[in-house]
Amino acid sequence: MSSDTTAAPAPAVQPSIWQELFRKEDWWSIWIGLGLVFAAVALFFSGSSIAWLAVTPKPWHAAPELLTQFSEHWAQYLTLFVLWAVLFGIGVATLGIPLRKFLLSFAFVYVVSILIFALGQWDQARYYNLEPPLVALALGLLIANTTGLPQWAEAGVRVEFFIKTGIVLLGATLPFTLIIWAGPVAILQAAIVSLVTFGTIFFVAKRLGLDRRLAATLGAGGAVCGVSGSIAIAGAVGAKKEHAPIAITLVILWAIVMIFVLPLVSRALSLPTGVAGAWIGTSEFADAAGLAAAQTYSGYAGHVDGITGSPEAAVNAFTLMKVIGRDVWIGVWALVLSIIATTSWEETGIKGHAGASEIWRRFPKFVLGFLIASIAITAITHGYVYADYKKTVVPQLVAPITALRTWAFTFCFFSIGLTTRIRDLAKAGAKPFWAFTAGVVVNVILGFILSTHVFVGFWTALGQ
Amino acid sequence: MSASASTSVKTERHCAACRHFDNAPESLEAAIPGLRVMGSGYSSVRNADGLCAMHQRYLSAASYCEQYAIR
Repeated sequence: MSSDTTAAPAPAVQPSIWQELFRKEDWWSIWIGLGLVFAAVALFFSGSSIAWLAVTPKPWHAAPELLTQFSEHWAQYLTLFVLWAVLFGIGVATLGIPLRKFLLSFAFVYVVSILIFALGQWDQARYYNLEPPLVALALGLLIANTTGLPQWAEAGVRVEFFIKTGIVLLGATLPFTLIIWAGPVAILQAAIVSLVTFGTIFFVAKRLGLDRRLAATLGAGGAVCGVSGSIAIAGAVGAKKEHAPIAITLVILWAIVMIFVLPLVSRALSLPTGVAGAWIGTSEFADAAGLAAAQTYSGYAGHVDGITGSPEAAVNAFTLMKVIGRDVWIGVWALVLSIIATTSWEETGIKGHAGASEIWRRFPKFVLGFLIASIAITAITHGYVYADYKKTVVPQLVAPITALRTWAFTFCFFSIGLTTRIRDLAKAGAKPFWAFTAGVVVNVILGFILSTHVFVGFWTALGQ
Repeated sequence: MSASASTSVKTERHCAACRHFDNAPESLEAAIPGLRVMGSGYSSVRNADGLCAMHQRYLSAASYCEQYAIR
């Protein structure tokens, strides 16, 4: 299309900020996550706690012990189900997902999550490598790729909704002072790896003769934030219909491989928890996949000889690296690539490129909830001396929020497996595969060097 | 090229209002294999992008072209 035949129309109508607040999953994860955090705080200051509600299976040795636990606490598990069903149910219903279908499906996810959670508390679980995130993922994959997920069970399998809610809750257990201290290093390390990984994928894809828009979509998936990165950049550059599915297929396959490989290699090398978390945060592709890997490694701390650092450090380092270091920059990537695509790449007959507002519109809003939760809990607990904090704040406030977070993550990990039907994914083709794989190799090696050598002292200290 | 460099008017509407354009989250999750696995049609990063049946591309809702057709 000739450039002089189409004039710029008036600015497109975008959903207003008020519509966005209820039409996007990100905002609903904030409402739910912060709602739970502030309810926990309110009960804490009234002398009570949400600890009763935030029930989790306790360690057990033999099956009768576990059955006794369930018989004694069934009312708590039922109440917790009702709470999650109401909160997520309001969210999905507002988004337009049929509520009845969601509830039936979510009940299935919840019941299986209880069993996965309980299995992880078995005293022989680590001997058999039955880490809950890996079990959840493997079980979901098995169901999805053998019998298939029944249609009635599909509506409640919302990977991103669960992981975003869990990350907002995670903010409440991550001191804001730690974010301020570690954030700049995370951003620096992530920026180095993101730029090099994107450049590698884009360069190799171009050398293989692939379309620039596909190259950019692949690059964003490997360098920025996985499926979300690919879909955001596909829209920003006006990619062909088949480009995003190709990139998504490669992101998913490599992300699942890395869920198993990164923790196992880290374990073989006895990396400290903070260091392993930083590496996973640098070299995993999606938040959900990375948290599965990081939480698996958290489970090794204190149970596997040679692994030092606190269990929380793996998840904290991962979150700093992935969420603060990589996710929040997707709008900037979209803006820059949109301008390059419309000014330098081949004509497509479609006009218009993004403005500066793109940065905010594509900003992963759930990060705001994560930061608000962190600031709120840090401010609230600031006045406690350490002994009182450990004796009162942790068991009555922090631990129950951590338990709720673990539930949300478990729903997510099981859902990843349930939604990953290999036969339904788009066929990627050899050239996109090799371009993306080149980026994976560079990303993993560079992320390892930065995490275990260049910034090793920093990430080790995070876990002390 | 930038939109502002154009000289004559044939199109006055964006993809957001075009009948060739579909950006409903549920449609996109059905049309884009794997989007739900580690992503979502309802996420903020997707903004209001959607699929154009005319150009067979995944586009920003703010894009525009000569083939605009009112819904």
